[in-house]
Amino acid sequence: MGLIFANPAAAWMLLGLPAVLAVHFLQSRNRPREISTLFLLAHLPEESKRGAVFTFLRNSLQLWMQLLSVLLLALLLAQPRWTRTESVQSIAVVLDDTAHMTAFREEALTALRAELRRLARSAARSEWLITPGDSAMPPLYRGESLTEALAALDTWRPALLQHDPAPALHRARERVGPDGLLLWVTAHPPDAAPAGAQILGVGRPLDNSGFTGVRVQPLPDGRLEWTASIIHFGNTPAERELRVEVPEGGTSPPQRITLAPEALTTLRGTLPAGSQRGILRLNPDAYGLDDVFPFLQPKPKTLRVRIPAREQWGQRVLDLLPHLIPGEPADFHWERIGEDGPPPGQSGLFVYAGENEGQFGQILAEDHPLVRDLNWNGFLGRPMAGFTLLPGDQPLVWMGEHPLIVLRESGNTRQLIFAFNPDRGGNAERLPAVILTAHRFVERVREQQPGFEALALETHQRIRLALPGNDDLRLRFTPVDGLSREWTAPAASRLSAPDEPGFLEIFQNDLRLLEASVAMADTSIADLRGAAPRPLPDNLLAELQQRNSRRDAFTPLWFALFGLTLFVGWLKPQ
Amino acid sequence: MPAPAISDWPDAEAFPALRREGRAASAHLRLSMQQRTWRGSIGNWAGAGIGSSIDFQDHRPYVPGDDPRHIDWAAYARSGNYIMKLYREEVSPRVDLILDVSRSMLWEEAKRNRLLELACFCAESAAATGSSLRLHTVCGEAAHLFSPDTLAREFWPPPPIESAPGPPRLERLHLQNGSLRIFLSDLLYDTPPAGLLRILAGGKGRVTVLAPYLRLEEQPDWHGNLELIDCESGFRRRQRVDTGLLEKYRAAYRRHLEQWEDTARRYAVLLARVPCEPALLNSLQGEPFAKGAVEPWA
Repeated sequence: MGLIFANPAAAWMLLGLPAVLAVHFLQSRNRPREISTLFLLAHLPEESKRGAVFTFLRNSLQLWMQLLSVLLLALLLAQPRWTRTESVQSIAVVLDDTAHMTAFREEALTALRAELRRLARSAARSEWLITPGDSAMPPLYRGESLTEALAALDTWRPALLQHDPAPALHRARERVGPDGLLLWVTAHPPDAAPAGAQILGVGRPLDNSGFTGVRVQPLPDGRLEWTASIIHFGNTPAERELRVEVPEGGTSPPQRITLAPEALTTLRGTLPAGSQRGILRLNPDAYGLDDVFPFLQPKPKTLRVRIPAREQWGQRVLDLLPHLIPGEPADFHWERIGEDGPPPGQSGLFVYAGENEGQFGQILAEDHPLVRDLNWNGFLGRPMAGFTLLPGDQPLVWMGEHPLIVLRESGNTRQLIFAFNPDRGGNAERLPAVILTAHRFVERVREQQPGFEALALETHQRIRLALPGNDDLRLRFTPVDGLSREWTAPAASRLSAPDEPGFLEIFQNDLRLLEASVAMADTSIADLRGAAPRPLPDNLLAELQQRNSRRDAFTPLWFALFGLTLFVGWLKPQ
Repeated sequence: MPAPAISDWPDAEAFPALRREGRAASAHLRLSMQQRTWRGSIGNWAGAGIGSSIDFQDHRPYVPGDDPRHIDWAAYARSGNYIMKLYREEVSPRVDLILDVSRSMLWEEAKRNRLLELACFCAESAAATGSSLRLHTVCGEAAHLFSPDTLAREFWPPPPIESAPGPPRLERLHLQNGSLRIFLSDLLYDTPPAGLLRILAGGKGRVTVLAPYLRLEEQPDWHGNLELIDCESGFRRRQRVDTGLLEKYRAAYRRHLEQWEDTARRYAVLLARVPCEPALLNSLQGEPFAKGAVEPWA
């Protein structure tokens, strides 16, 4: 059963101790007093020396009573309570996992450790739950040891992009129950937190500047030109230094740049000949994740296409897309079909050019990614009446009762069927909705086609790979400021980009499937001017202590003693 | 050094109130005149010699020149000799009222007022009993005798006061032989009392000492570090005052009074202390009345 004080601020009352001592010291400033009986004191020794500022304390009852009364008053004002031995409290701490918390991590840990130590004293036993704000992550600690809970805080690595903390808070609330204490540690404290969480604000307003994106284009001479955008969230201009690193070796001299407040600055440069990737660096500020930006030239997967020479419209449509080359065996076919339909096992876009046209009617698009948000109202054409839907076909666009565009998928085969004849007039060849649907379908086929590609990813970005087999994947990640690391993952696992900048490669067996740069470029979390500290409510600890403790049974005695010392120490001499 | 100021003496506006207080007290009490024989001019009080009162005192043989009206004829019938009847003399007592006007008596208003109230009481009492009063003031070397005209006035002018007096030089006073000597003083002198009382009791005088005192003198409220200043000499003493020192002071105060009382008994001096805080009549009904320094009107 531990002693706690419901009002620790009463400790200031202890300043009365030196005050009392000072009063006794300063009594050497003798007050003049005219008397008629001074000769009666002639034989007593003179007590103080002329000119002395301080005099030594005398061991007088009055002094001790005054000191004791100050102590007792401080004790009474502090409201001593005894923690009940059977008291148990549940405390959950949800740490904001947004990446910008890295700028305040040490401050957050320092403040949180102090608060947890304070809170631990308000009950005999405490059940701790330390969990990150990423609801998909397991808790950092769950148990009754404060020491282990504090140690677990060191493993906290905030790296998420903008996300909603509510799921993590609600989950933590479920675990501590309605009476438990739920703390939400964040640098941007909102007015109120979900799930009845108490907010511990640990940030402070900071200026921050960082990369928002890099675009890479090849130059005619074969070199790569990069164009970087840097945003500065600050109220005053900032001076930064920019360096360009090439992983193959070499760093450019620093280039001093001036960033205007609240403005986007665009910089452009070229990589040395032969370099296919690079790293842009700003000299670091408090939030360092957006101060470095690895980049490479994205390369989509190459798709082999077979299209008859007479399909001029089809060639015009496909020419608009990169990395499509004629070749055999073809990955994508563009052909006309008859009533037999497209040949099985061939992916591609097929135009059903039958003889019987249906009636012109009202056009209607299904809710499907291939046709979503496209405008079909201007379509001037007529559907083929003889086209027959098979089980499993997905009509995407209807005209009246006839399907106009149909998606047919089975296994690895994906076929898009245009059930209209573009050669019979109309505007299908020029209608953007038709062309965009064709392009979306080509990309869909490309996406599901196994093969190498180079991508520019953001941290945590979902990675979708078309795999040639079911063997495990081998991943290699090289952080911009660290050593490469490799690990394997099942082929069916959900893949996402790492949470720090670097370069990622993915292999299956010896086949390289992906090379990607990974960068942090979420500007929605880069503005740190709104960060602010916010302590826990003053009455929070008092409420917990009230709940888990009982009043000191000796309080009336302290009152009586205080009155007695007051009388003896002050009142009686008067 | 604080110089005793003439302003310590009450002004003409304040003095009548003190006289009224003394006069009011004298309506109930008077200086103790009974149980004693006096010398003086013809009056109403038993004198030390033979007089013409109706109080028989003695017989003696007739000598020529005696008043034949006082021949005891009955004794002549028994003895055949002329025997004179002698009667007690009736006189008006002489009173010497001596005021200690040192600064210790005047600087504290309560004690100053009590001193002058007592003086007025004594003057009124003397006048009411037909005594001849001489009012002396003494302050160290300075001695002063008020004229009878001055005493008759409502305001007594301030007497000469020394700035740094020692003990009162009573030998400078011209006291009347066989007089009642009322000495009004707080007795706060750092000298043995025998010298003063011997002078007062000389010349067959009967001495009454009325000693006004303040309660703060015997129970001071001092506390902490003080710079104590003697009100007469201005001497300064830095003193830390605590409970222990107050005990020592009170013991010294008691010893001082006991020394005066012992010496007074030795010189047949009637010493009574008069508190300054109560009203004069109440103060006189205390120790002065108990010790016979004052008595009620018969």
